[in-house]
Amino acid sequence: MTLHPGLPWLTADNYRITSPATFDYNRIAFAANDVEHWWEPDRFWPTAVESDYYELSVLTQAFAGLGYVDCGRDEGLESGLEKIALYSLGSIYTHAARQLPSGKWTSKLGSWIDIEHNCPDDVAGGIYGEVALIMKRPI
Amino acid sequence: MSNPAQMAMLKSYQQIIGIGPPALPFILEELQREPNHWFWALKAITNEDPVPAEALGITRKMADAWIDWGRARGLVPA
Repeated sequence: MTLHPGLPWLTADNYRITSPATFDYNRIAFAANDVEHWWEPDRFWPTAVESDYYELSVLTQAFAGLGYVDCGRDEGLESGLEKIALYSLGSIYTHAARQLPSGKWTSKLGSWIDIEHNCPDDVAGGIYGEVALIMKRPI
Repeated sequence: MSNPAQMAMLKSYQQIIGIGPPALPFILEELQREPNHWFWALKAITNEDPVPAEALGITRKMADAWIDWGRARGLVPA
């Protein structure tokens, strides 16, 4: 049974709920380890926004500003590195997930709950589109 | 749960924006109940943004700023 019809690849055996719903932060803030702000280009954003607000490039630039670099699709666990997965529908960013020290991933689902899931693709295939790239930075 | 950009493109969301100022009391009432999703619509309808810089990104404080804005204009019961 899937958790939400918009997340068709999330099944009973590949995720667990880790916190209750809250409006205090969103998926992008959570990926960046910030649970006090709701990150959107027209609300709160760590870098200057130059063009279309929800372009994937705006999101990659934000995480680059936090020290992350593009590592293609390499989602494997690497000692001393923290990885994030960025998602898009076309050129529009939709979601971000963060790798945990265990190698599993964690996501905040909009204004809803936080979950732990096995791999980035678990929350792809629906309203979040596809994994566009993985980024990493030293812990 | 959708991206705000996706949500803003929804026909129902655009219809609410299309109503214009008469929708403001209802949006502000909803914002009091659930402090999210309406900042885009409020800015689009009013062409204003009463949220102080220090409150940006803090959902509850952003909602409070808009509710205070509405209260000052008689759109929210005192």
